[in-house]
Amino acid sequence: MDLATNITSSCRVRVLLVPVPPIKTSTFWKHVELVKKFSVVRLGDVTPDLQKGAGAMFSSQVFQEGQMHFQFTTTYTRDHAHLEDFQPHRRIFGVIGVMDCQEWKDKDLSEGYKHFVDTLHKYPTAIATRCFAFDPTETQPDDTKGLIMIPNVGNMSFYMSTMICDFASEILSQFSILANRIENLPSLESPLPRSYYITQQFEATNNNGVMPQPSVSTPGTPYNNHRQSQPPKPTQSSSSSLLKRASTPVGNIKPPPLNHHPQTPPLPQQQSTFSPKLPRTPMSPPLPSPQPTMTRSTSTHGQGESGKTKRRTPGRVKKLLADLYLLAGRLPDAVNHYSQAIELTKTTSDYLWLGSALEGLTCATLLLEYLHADVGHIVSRTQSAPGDIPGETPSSPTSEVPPSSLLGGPRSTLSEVMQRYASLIQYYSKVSTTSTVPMPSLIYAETAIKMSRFLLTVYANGGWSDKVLNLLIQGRLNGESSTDTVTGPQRFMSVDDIIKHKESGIPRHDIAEWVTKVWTARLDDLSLVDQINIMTHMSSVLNAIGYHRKSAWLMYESVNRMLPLLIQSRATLASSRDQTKKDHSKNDDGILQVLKRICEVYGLGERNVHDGGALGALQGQDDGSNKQRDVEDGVRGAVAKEQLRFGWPKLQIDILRQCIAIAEALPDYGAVLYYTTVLLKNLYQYISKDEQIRLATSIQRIVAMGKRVGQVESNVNYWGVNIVSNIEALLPIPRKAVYQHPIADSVAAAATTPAANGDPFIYNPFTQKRNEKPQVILVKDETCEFKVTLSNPFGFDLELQNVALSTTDVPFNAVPATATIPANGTLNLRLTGTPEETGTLTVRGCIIKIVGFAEQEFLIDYSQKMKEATKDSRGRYTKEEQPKNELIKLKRSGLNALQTSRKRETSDELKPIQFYELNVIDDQPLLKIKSTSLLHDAVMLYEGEMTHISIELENIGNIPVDFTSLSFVDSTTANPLPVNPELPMEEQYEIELYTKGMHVFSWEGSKDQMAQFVGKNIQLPPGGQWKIIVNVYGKRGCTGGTIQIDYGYLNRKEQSSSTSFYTRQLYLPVLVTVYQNLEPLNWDILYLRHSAPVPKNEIDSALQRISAIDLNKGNAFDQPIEDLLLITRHFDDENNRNDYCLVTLDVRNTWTVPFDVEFVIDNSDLENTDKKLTSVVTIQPGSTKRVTVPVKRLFLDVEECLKPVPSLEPNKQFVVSQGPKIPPEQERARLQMFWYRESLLKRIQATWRCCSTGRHGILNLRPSLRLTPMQLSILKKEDIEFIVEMKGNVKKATHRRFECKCNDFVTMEVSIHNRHGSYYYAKRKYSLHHFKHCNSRISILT
Amino acid sequence: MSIYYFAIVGATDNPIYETDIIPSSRSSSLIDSSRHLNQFIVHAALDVVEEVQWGTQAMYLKSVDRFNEQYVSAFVTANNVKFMLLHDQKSEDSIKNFFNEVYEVYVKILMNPFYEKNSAITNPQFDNRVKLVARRFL
Repeated sequence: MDLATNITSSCRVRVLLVPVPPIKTSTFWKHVELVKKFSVVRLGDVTPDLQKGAGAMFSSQVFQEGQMHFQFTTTYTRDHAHLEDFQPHRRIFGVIGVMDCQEWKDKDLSEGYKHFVDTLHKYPTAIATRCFAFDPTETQPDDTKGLIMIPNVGNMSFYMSTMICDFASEILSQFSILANRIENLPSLESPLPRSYYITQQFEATNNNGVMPQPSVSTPGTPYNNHRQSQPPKPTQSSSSSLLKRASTPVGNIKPPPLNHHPQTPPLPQQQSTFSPKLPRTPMSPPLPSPQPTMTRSTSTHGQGESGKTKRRTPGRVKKLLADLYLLAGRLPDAVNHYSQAIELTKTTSDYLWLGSALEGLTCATLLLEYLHADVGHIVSRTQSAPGDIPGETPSSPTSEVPPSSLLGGPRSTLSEVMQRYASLIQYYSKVSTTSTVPMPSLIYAETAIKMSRFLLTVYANGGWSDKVLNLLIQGRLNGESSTDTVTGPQRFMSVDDIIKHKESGIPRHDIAEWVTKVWTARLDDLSLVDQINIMTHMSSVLNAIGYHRKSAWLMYESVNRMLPLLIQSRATLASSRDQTKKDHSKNDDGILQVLKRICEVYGLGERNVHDGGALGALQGQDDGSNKQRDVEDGVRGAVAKEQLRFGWPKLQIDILRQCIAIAEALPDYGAVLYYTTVLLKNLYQYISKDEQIRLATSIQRIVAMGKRVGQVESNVNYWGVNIVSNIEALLPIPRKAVYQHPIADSVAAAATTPAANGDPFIYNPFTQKRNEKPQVILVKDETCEFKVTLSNPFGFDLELQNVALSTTDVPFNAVPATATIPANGTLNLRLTGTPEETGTLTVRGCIIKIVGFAEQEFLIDYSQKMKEATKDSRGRYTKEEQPKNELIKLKRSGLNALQTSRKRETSDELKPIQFYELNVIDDQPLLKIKSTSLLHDAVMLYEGEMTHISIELENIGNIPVDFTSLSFVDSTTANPLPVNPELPMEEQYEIELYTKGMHVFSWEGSKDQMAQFVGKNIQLPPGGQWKIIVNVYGKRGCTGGTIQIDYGYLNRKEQSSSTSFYTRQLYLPVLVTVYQNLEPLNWDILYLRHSAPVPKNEIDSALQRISAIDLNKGNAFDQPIEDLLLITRHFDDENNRNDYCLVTLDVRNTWTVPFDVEFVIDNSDLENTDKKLTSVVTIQPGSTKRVTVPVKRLFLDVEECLKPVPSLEPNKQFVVSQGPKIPPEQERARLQMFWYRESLLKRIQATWRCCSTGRHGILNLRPSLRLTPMQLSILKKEDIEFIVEMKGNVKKATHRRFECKCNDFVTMEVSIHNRHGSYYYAKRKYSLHHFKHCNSRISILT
Repeated sequence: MSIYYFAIVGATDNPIYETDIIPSSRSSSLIDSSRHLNQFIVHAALDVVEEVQWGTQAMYLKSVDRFNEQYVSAFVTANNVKFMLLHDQKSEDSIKNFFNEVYEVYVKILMNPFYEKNSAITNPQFDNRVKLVARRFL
């Protein structure tokens, strides 16, 4: 088969090389190669025709520089027999038998020759035959006539070339006979295109030797004509002797008259006339049947058509003669005849022949130019002899090429050829307008291919040059070697290649345009083999110019057309024998390679898809040592390949389906498996559910079949899609959770960290938050749970027979589970397991066995998850990640993108896979709360009341507990309201006192009762019990709290070196209800006027009465107001003024039972240490009682009053006040107010008691006390006090009351007492000096 | 009226959007049969687009390829997304207008912050707009 259709193929004489059996295949091919070396014969060397000499029509001596080009083929098909009369170069002109003498050692060689002669009838078109016997032994006689012995000694090539020249001479002499016959033809018909028939297509491919019937359903008339020119050849060849040839033509030329009467009756007659003459023509039997049917259709216009044919015949004859001259190497004559033919056909608008003549002319001119370049001395000759060239140019449609340019300008040759082809293809396309005979598609297609190949040769070799011409003549594309890199199967054309070829000046687009012209021919009319042939041509040309997609499409189409042939041949093979399978599997590689290439271009290359190891199974390299690496690569690859998704899904599906079909036809189970898995795994999104199920089941079927044949290994995984999407350790229940603590003092560490940061803010909202997520710590020998998220992207349910965690590093007892993932769904599965040793547990993923498939490990790359997690928390990518992920995508497009992505993957940019790691620690104790003293975990309290809760703990673990700590959280402190820094300091102090200063819970028996976090070392062996008592205080507004018990086992010997310890926690939530029972209000401080002093004994008795009041006796008390007031009237000896003031407040009982309220007033002073005064009052439900308490007036030192307001919060954020600056005096007054209030509250304490229930508590007076400046001035002793004292004959009645006689001089001494810290100026005129100290006294004499 | 096949092809040869623009009179069954062929034609024409796009400054590349009686016109956007139109009548101006209009709609899609580049356009409004533009110009 002529695979290399070329622009110069019309100058080649086709010679068939046939083996003469018995001969070894290799030997035959060796000899074929030998013969092929002599494919070019110089006419000057050809033996001149002895009979006619130089006068012979095709004498070799006329144009000695000419060359004859032989094309030696080894296959023979009559597919294009109908075109042979139109284009003689298609015809097999000679047959050379190749005989191996070694096989005939003991037999007569003539037998073999006879055998060869007998087979010649199969090649009816051959006009010359030879039989070469190679490698003769000495003993074999060279006596067989017609058999040519080729000795393997001596100058063999000379001998061979002589033989070939001789052979050429015979062909040339036969050409003249042919030419004669052609000249005598009355009419020449156009060839008929091969029309649609299917029946014989397969025969055509299966047996090369038996020629197929060219056309069956062709119209009758042309067919007759076709036969007219045909008959000579069968007769010649069948006889294989030159003698008969002269006689045969006579009978053959006779039939033409029949054309004028193409009715049905003559046809049988014609048939009858022919059949005796051509008894051995193998094509005659099928003829009769179709003819009657066909003639009817064309009979109507048969007359006109035949007339036209007659008119056109002279031009056609000229064209055929020119073709023969071209074949004979007589280029000047060829050009001459061609130009004549062109003129003639033009006038008769016989476009088909015109086009063909132009084609021949182009070929001839190219050859001429080649000869000029080759043989320098011939120039003079050609200028004289081919006056044909100028003669030809006007006839050429372009008619602008001067003869000189043909020799000189290389560019013009190129453009001339292009223009000539452009016009001739135009002529071809016009054929159907002027003739009823349609344009043969094959010729049209081949013309387009010829041109595209011509252009490609120029393109690939960088412009027009002698070298290109040389290559064109040789019919090769590339000068250097046959393995051209551009068309290599795995590569795409790079930009560099394109630039390299750019200088040729031929845009790739032009080449592609010529290729696409092939489509305009109706390819469907051609036989399958021709279609495949043409498409392969197109594909290779397109591939060479870098149009890979087009090329791949054509490959796809041609493979599509091969499919029926494949199936057919398989079927015949299967029916015959299975033994030859091995040979075929070798040949199958070719088609599989083609499929691979197609897939690559469509983005389905091996690098771009995940196949789940099916490819590895194909190549059979899945041995155990690198399996580990393979698996990891698989995970990584799957992740990476997600980004490399490439191509057009719908087309990919088509391609893959076809690949599967082809692979099934072969059958290659490995390939079927590969393509099925690729289709299922990569494109499941685009495939319907039914087909997915079908594919999934077919995978199992294929594996089963493949195993039977032995092509597929059994232990391969087929699930490349990672169905495990996430694995996460679940936090255990709070009771079992383990917490890690550093061994170093945690408080100290916490205190230093903010300072170390250099951050002036205690809370900075802009600092990066640490990951607050509690880390899961596994405990040895305790069951832990993992949440595994499985997803099924397929359209069918996945039944998991066995799912278990896959872990390393620490022995882990994983508990397997079963599950079914619904179609297109995700499933959260809880998998459990028990770590059996301490250390770091690495969770690799899951081992999953899907029903019907092999067990497989699915890995999880934790680093990917982490990235996502950070992305989620921050809401966006960090700066480096973002461009990386997006820009690469669009950097290149099309096939370039495909190539670069592959490069990226190979450059190993991917990070190593990172698994999920967990810490496994030693055994931990376990406690439980056995019982509490609470009912329903709830406590009801009155405000200020204190109760106890007892908690009983039991160690239910295996190891003792040696450490516990209690910490408490209550609703008021758990989330305290942020203190508004704008508030006055006093109020902030109040709020802090409320949140921080009063604790709801405290641990009874601990050193620091009020501490909220207390640790203790204890000993609690397994099974032991322990009781804890916790105090609960009724704090206003508290609704509940939590008692947290941390415990652990710290004194392990082996853990002494570690830097952290672990505890577990127990929680006891407590509901607290606090009722407000008593409400103090309406504070006031009253000034006590001085009244008469009371004797000391009365005061003492009053004190006694007050202290005699016992709360335990009686149930209703009233305040002993009189007694209390009596006490205020107590005076010193020194006659100091009365120091008391009255503090009154109302207390309201808002509850439903009476309460006794006891006030304790601490009037102790620096000077006198009185006993505390107590006062009890019973308040009935709903009623309000006024309580009056005598309190000694206070005086605080200046320094004390100027102390800043304290704060209970150690880490208080300092905030610069934004309010207006307070004047210093005002500030001082406020501080004074604060401190006096504090000391007043210190002096007055109140407790309450419920007689009926026996409950008691503290009455918090603080919130209700608001001092006004007026009240303060009463409470506070004056800064400066005047003490008047009379001396002399004076009797002191009471304070500032004196009795003296009239007209008696007494001395009045006025002393001024300055309590204030600063200096005062006494404004007496003569006592203007400074007093440095308090209590200094001035005596003024009046 | 003739049948058109319009596709937007992304950087990795993947169709971002494809639609058949058919007159309502024709039956849809006819389209189904020819659809895959259309896709093959358009995909193959990408080869030519990749060559031609570097030779011109215009975004509209006119008719770049032909297959039998069908032509492929192409339009390349700034970030190398290709609009491919398969048609059987030559009318450069209307196709140019069509491409320009579709480009405008496409740019609006691109401006959507939720649209991921090089992913399929599933917005039904885009579909409607394209069909509207097609009715107007083709």
